[in-house]
Amino acid sequence: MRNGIAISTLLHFGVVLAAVYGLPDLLNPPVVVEQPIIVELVTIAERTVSQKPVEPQPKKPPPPAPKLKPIAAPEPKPEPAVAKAPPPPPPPPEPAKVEAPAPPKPAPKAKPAEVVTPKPKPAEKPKPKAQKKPAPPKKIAMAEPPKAFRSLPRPKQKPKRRRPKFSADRIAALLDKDERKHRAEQQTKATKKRTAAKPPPTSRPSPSRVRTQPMTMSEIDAIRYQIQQCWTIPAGARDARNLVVRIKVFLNPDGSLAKAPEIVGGKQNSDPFYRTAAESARRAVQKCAPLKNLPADKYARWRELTLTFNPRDMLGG
Amino acid sequence: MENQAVDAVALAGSAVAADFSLWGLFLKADWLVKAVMLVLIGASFWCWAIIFEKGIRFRRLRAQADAFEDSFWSGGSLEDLFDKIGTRPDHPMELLFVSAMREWRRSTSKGLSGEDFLRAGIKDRIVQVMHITLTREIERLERYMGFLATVGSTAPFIGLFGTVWGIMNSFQAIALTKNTNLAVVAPGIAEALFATALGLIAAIPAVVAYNKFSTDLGRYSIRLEGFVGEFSAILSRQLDERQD
Repeated sequence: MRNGIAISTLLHFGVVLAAVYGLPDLLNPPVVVEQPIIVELVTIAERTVSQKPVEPQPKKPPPPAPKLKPIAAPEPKPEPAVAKAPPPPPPPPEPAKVEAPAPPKPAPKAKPAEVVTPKPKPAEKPKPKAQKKPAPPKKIAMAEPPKAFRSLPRPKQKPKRRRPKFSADRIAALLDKDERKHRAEQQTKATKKRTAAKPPPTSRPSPSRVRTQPMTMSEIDAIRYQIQQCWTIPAGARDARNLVVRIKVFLNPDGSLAKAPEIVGGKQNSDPFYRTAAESARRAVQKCAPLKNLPADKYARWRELTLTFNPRDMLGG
Repeated sequence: MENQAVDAVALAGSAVAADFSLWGLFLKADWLVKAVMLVLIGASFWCWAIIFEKGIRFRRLRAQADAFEDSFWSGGSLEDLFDKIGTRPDHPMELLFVSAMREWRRSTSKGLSGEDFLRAGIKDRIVQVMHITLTREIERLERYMGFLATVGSTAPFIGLFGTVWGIMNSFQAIALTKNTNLAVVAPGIAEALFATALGLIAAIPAVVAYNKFSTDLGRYSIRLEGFVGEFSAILSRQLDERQD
């Protein structure tokens, strides 16, 4: 038995010694840990609402018609008039019919426009100038200054003759863009959780424009990005890519939280995974609490923010 | 409570950087897991001692049995062989031979082989003496085999117990930190699994060795029984020849 014990002692001593000196690492080459280079990528939504197009519109109208034009100014209205004008030949009814269908969302603005537009010709000139920054619209304004109001219907009646100078298609495309822009704007408003009625009055006629400017998408994205940095997606959640969580955040002017963030959405009690994800998102907001790089002049806009957390953005798929 | 949580977080943070060598895993483990590991290391140590002991023993026994059978069947006088071995037999087959020869000599020297019924008594006694010696020797060879069998069947469970305990600790760490991050649990699970690894390290050689040695032992005892039969046949033939 003594031999066996001696050999066994030697064997185990050797193995323990090897273990002390890092057995698995002796056999494998040490793993080279790659140093990650941190790059901040701010994901920006497909369209960004830029502030500048919004500013000029309210500014330019005032000179000709102080009260009526700001209301008429909204981008989509006049251009629909250009595009959809052809069918109705008589000039006076045109704007009324055209403008009513064109802006379906801001109904209150459309009605005052009907009243105003038929007769005051100067009122219409500023609109094309202000709204049509690209080349074609300017041509309309410059080529036909005297005709003013009636000039608008004609090009529409003979669109094929004048195509080279001024194609209805291009205007339609423009119009399309503006409509999209408008929609995007409204979406941002929706995400900010403001009622649809409030933003238009504040943004357009109010004198302190700077203060109430809508936040750009990139600004909202910057906020969301800061919070997503702190967000740990609950690992292993079923159907993780569909766990879109919406959190309502109340902020102080210094970027700290005014009160605890709220989870927006109805199904939090039904799905435990959703609940976990929502809780983690809320924790992320609290963890990141003093948000940085907020535009101080737009505090009214980001006092209450509804942020949408989409795990798909974070999982990179 | 909070401090504990903070400590756990700090530990979890440091554990990420810590080494995952076997020694590091052992040092980090909970005391109970450590105890389990030590028990398993002890079991492994004793198993290997038995394995080496038995391996050497069986090899030598086989060689000695071969040598003895050669000289036994060489045609020389059994009396001479008995005298040569003397009173110090050093392996079971010699022991069988010596015990039978001793009984034979004792019986014949007292002139008990004269009558028929006395001769039958001598035969019975020789066979009985050899069988007793055989069982005693086999019993001696079987020593420690039970330990191998026990370790082979229980070491995985002991290791598993350590693992379960370690994983329980890991989950308590999750509960304390309220952090489901895998980094909090991973070191604990790694060190806990090390206990199962040790259990398997102890158990696998034990099972293999147990199977090998039990077949070896079976083969050897058959060989011994064969020798007992042959030798008793030779002695009974001698008795009958002597009477004639």
